[in-house]
Amino acid sequence: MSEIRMQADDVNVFYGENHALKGVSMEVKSRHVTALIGPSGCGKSTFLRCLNRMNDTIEIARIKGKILLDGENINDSALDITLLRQRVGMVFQKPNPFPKSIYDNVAYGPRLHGMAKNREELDEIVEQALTSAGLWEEVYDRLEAEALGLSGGQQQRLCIARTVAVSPEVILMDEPCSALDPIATGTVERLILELAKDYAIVIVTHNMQQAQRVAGTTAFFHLGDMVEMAATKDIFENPQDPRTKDYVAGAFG
Amino acid sequence: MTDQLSPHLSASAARRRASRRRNELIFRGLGLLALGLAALFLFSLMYSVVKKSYYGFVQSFIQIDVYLDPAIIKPEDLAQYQASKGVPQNLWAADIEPDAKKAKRAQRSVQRGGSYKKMIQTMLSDEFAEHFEGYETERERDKSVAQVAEMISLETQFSIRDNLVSGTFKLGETVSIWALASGDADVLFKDMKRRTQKNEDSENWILLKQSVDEQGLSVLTQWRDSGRIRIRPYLGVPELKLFGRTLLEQRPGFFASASSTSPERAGIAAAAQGTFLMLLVVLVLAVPVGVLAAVYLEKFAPRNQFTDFMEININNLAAVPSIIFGILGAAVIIQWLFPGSRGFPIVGGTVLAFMTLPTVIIAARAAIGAVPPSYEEAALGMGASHQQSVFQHVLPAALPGIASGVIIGLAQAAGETAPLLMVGMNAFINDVCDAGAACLMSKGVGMPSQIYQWAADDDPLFQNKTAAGIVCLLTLVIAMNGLATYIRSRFERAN
Repeated sequence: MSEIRMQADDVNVFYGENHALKGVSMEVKSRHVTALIGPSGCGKSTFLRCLNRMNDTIEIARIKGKILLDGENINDSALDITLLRQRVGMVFQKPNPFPKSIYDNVAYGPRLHGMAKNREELDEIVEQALTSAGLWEEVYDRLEAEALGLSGGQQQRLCIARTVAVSPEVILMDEPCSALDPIATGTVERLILELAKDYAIVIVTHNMQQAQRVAGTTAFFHLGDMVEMAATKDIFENPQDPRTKDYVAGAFG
Repeated sequence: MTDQLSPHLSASAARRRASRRRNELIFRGLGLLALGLAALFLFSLMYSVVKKSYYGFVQSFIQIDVYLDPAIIKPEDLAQYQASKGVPQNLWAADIEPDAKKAKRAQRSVQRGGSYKKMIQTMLSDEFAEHFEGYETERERDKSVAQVAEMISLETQFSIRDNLVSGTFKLGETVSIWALASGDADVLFKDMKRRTQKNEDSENWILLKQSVDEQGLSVLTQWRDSGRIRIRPYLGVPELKLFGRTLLEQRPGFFASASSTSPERAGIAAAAQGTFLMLLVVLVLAVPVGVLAAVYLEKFAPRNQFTDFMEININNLAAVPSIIFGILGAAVIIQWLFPGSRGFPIVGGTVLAFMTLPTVIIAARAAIGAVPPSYEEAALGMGASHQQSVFQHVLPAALPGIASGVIIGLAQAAGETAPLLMVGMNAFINDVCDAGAACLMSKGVGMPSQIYQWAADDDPLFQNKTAAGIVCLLTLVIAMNGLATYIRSRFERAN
């Protein structure tokens, strides 16, 4: 059984007067995919962004509650936020590679954190990251090409490689396939399953089939509440809460 | 049931449509008219300036044969002077023993313009003896000869001297040279060319008749009729030194000479140098301060009343009349901080930097604000600090936009006149400064204030030089704006 990597305890988020997330508690297990589903505006992305404190960039956001990463509260003001984000990486909704070469994109994190002593080590990290993102075969002969010249699906996998290159413990994915076509989506989903062998993955998705395909555990959010969290199979086949039932049945959302 | 006629097919609807079409046609016509008028104004302005400037770039030359009389400049004096200037011995005008004391006396004799003027006068007096007849006294005749000699520019005297010193001309020779005509003669010759037929009642002829008499005029006419007058470009080559090596030799002309009291010798070089130095100061002062201020305001500053207040003030500063900045420079820098710095390019540049700062800040903020937030988010998500994400990702992506803003600010600064007048950068400068960086701290002049100076002179040739100066400044400003547009359009394509 996989161990618990992150633990959220009664997390509340306010955007100004708006109470966006109401007392959410959940566990994130390592080597496991946790999916967050729910209609738009239900707070699932907000919660995801709490896990690596990306909400800090929003001035009016206030966060209350405890989130433990290996027993350490990440909302502690003494915490080094850059260290947190090294340990909890993030892949965004829209592929957002830097306007640099493919190599520089992947090497950015390792360079930033001094993870490679020399060029050989860096090359090694870049190759490994690209390989684990399933991109190495496609780009090994044009690492110096502009990253923005890749297709959307390749760009998103590059972003995943970039995140993996920093060796995080947890990878957060905010609707990583919403800007991709079905074929690229399939590739990324296979990649997620592959990555789940090593990392704890939390994925926000609008696509219920996707949650069923990739996630071991699924949490359903509605209007800022986490309504139900259970094994994915149970959520879709035997939901306990009527709201969950309606949502997975397609009655709303 | 009868078919209901659609309300859109009624007569009144047709009328409404016709009226709408008419109104749109009128609006379009008015728009085109406005555009046409603007184009007409612009074109006529450009046409008149460019046309007028042509005679500022070209100048009349007279072919004369001058006898370099060893009686007027002694070969020994010239040789002493040559020795003191480091001319190789085989080029000396005479065999001498170099002597510091004699060299000093020789310098006076060689450098005096009067000697060369005398050579030219002798030439005129001998060669055109039959023209200078009918005077009662010798003195009157000499006066008339001197007046005609005035038609040849001072520049010619200096050119003879420089050629003698460098050994190109030798004493005792008769040299045939194309001599630069003085302002009055130049205007006359251009006038003759312009109208083809003689127009003796023209303003310029009247002007000329005040400076030469009947006999003198006949010499000028003779020159013209025998094809010894030529109008050709007088652009010159500015001196260019790099790391102690002379890349370009100075040759006098519009782009190589400083201003002068003689319009034919006046050039834009000193003013261009002043403007260049000031833009350098602006670049050094306004760009780092402006860009960092923009980065801070856009990415780091907390939103509060103080930063709002700063923002309003910066926007207001961009609209402050430039003369106010000039007064600031005059009152604070010259009178209070650094007395005696009046007219220094470093002061002018500082004032222009103040003036450009709001432009740079506003442009840089716009460029930084236009960078997709996803870059910053991606960097933050990988554990970069806020500062790292700004300086490693946002700023590089904003750089083209910032650069184009900076160049537009510089172009604006290059054309600004009022602040220069306030800080005394409108002095009469008749020498191009060759002291390198020390030129920042010596009296200078900028292109706009030089143009202003020339425009105030009613000599027709100065008017032409004014137009030529305007063309230079316009070219500079348009080129800078073009560069900014180019950088921006490339940037937009890249995104």
